Amino acid sequence: MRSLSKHAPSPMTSISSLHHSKVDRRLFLRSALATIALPSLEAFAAPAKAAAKPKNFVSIGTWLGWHQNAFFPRQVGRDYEMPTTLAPLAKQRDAFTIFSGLDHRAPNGHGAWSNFLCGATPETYSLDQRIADEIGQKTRFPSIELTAGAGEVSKAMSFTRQGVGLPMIQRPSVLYKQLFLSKADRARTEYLLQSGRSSLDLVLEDALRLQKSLPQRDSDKLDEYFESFRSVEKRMGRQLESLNNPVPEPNYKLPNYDPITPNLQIEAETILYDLMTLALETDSTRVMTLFLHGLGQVFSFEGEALSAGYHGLSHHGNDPKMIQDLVTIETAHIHCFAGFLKQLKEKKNPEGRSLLDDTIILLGTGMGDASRHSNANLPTLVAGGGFKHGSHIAIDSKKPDAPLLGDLYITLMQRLGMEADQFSNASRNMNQLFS
Amino acid sequence: MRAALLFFSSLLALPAAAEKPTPIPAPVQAMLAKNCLECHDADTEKGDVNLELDHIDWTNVHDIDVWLRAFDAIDQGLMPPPKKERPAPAEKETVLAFLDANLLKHIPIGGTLPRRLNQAEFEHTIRALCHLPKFELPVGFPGDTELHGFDNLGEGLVLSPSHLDAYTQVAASIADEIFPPTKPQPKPKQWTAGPDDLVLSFSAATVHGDALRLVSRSPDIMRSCTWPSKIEIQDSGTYRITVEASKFLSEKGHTFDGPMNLEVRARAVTATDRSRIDAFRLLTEIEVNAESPETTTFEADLYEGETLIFWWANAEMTHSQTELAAHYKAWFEKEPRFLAAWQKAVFPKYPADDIRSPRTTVLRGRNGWDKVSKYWADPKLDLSQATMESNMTKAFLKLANGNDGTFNLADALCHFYHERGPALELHSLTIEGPSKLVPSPADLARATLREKITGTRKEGQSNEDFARSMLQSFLPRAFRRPVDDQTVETYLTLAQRHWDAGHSLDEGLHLLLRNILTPIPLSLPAPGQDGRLRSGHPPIVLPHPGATGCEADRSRTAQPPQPRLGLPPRGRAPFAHQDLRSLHPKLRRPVARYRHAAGHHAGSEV
Repeated sequence: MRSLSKHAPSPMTSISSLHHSKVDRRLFLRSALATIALPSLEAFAAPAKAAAKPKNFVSIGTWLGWHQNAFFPRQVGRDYEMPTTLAPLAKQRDAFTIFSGLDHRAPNGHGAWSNFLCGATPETYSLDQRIADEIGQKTRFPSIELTAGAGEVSKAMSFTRQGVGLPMIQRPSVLYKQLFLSKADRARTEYLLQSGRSSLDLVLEDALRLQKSLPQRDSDKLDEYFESFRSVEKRMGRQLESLNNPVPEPNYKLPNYDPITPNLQIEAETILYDLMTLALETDSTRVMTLFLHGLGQVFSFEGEALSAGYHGLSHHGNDPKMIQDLVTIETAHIHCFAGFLKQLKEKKNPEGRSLLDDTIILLGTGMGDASRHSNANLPTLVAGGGFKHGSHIAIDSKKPDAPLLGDLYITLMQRLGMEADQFSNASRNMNQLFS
Repeated sequence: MRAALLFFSSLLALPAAAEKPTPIPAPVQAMLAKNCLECHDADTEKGDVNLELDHIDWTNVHDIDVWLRAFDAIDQGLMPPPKKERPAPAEKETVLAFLDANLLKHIPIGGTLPRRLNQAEFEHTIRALCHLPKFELPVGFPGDTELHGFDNLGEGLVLSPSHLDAYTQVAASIADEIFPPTKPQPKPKQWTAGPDDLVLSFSAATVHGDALRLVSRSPDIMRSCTWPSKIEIQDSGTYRITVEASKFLSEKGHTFDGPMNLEVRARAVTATDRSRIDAFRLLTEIEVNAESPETTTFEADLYEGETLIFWWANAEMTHSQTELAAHYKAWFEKEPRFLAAWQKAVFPKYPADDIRSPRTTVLRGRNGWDKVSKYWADPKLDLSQATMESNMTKAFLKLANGNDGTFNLADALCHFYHERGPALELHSLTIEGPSKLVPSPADLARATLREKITGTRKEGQSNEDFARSMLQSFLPRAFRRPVDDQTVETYLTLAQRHWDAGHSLDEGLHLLLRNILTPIPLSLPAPGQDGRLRSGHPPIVLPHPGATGCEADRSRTAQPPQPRLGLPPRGRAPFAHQDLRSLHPKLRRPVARYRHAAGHHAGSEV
């Protein structure tokens, strides 16, 4: 999250965490010491336009890919038979589009996984951050990066313009805390604001006295400083006021533990989707990513453990039993995802438009086939955003003019109102095929 | 120094407009022509800098700015750029002496513009000042506005509200680290975990009825250990831990004489699953002797963020790349059918004498074991390759020994033990507490850090005196210059008011630290004799510890550059001494410049 995230519920704020404070480093920006999730404010609302455009972007990516044969429909067009992995989405088939044959022509292997959102060159400015830099600035959190089932903390899905990988929030309790301050958090925030304000008062008094006697150049410089101080003071004032506003009761109960051990990934996913819905509903952010990691965790479904760990299964070597177990996991991911889409569809704004129409959701991966470590033909699904959905769009990547995955991303960015005509190695769009 | 001050007091009376242009002497023009004009002549004017002049016009504000910057750039070795020819030291000295004397004489300023520290300076300041050597600014920390390619000139360092906000929050997070808010007194509680609440990773563990079985002694925890998935200690303290465990043996499995040694260690919940067991603190070792569940209770200290981890230290099964082949070999020598079953599972052409394309990745986990055990049980299993001398056996043992195949084969073999034993069974776990609180290593480190900043509190010392002595030592380090009593007292007033309002000592110190680390001047100094702000007023220009003065005040200060006073040179102090490679990649471009500057000042002080 682009915010000063703390490990919670009992902050693991230790010396070592500060020493290695990359984890918490995204901060700040405008998230500020303290603001709380409020229902959409008018000031934050998108400018009214004739045709409402989606305003949010969410991306979900699996570290170990999606088994292609169970993800891509056999038929092209609208009347496809729902593939196994996507079965939980059967009732929502008009809410999404499946793409096959798209990729970034990126290098292969786990190491290049971040091509998913970065394009042909992994670990460069990712799609979500580009979108956040453009449309995320008006909300408390320009973007929020989440992960479920993290196996190795060093992996990143989102990268800044400078190619810095963004840390991800793994604990639902941390996300929750940032979205909905508890009473104790509010008291702490109020205390920090109040005490910070008292020292500002002292400064401003002194400055006014001094400023009168300074030559112009210094005086201008000081003006700049004090404008900042005043603005911070005003901001603190607003924050203090907002602290007294009634907090929306999210009416959501977190478990009394954080499901961060890898084998609780599905549970973590379910909770994170719920919180993501709340974040979008309260307009706390407009850009979110969710990384679905996978290492050795062995899942149990209905009391039965699968035959091997997630990563082991992804190296199925076309063994039918292993593929079956792998697809069971991937179907569980899609089951959670279907719940997310359903929630978004049910939430309506005052104009009757659903949060799903307001949100473009990109589900995919940077790994085309984990068994072969190939990053070609990336399984991709787009939901929401007011597109005409319901089809399987198959691209023949062997054709010289075949569109790239980046071309689809350009279409998505344009849909969000961005003037984008380029993404990584792509410089066209897919508006003809998908609108 | 005195001369310079006198000079200034007299200069102040002179209206700028009355100043006459100063001719640039021939030697200076010659050096400029040789080293600068390629880029900074009247035609090219790179960076809006034209040095192709024969006089300095003191009425032209732009020109004055250009000469000021030229002085800085030449003095610090920033210009000419690294790849261009450098002026001889004598030439450089000539130019600098001329500019220094005339800038001091003519420019109508006497102080460096107040400025904030740039990102890199701020980061390094925090590291050194607060003894946090690995501190890094948050990724989203707003960038510096560069001016003319330099990011440490006062004019360039715009303090936007988002900057101030970000600085304020960093300051608060540092203060939180050193003077953490008090936590509420914890209530003792109890966690329980059964087999279904323990982590299954790779083939390390499986659940059978009311027990979870462990089989391997691999030091890689993800291949041998289990740990509770829903327990995370919130308060460092002493806990009472109860573990119920037993031996699992069967007729179809091997025997296991003597006790099974179950190590119970403490792991951070957030530790990577790629950790090795010895990374974690040993709490106790339990001897498991019986095949029916036995209960062991012990007390141990657990720290915030930790949970337990279980490891069977003397298991028969190993994942060791150096031991696995020998393990298989001993077994194969006794049981050719077992050998043949593995050969059939691994080599696609079996029983043909063809060892190409062995497949081990698909054997991972129970799936692989299911295959092997099916072949093993098959009365028609072909044993023609099942001799210790066959190529296939040798190839198999090679796969098992130090190759990529080791883990795959071992993960499959683990399930032999899961099914038939010997395995160590865990039935339940209970953690109760804390019965008393104990400081964690992080708490102890924090206490040390805190003392470095505050100094040691003398017995009977009042809050006020304690804070004063802290300020007296911390402020000069923070502001990199002597700090007068008035400034100390101003800060103290802030804390005093806070205490008077009923806040604790630590809350007052927290407030002080927040303020010192934020580029807000709590009290501005009286202007200098020149009527200007004094250079580098501390809270605006934040500190480089150990330095004796502000690094920003070169030519444009009331004081001539230090070397000319016989004092140590200062330059861009922090960059002359730090490990440049430690700088964040995002700062690379400025660093390239600094690296050059650092080289230039190599050997200089502070």
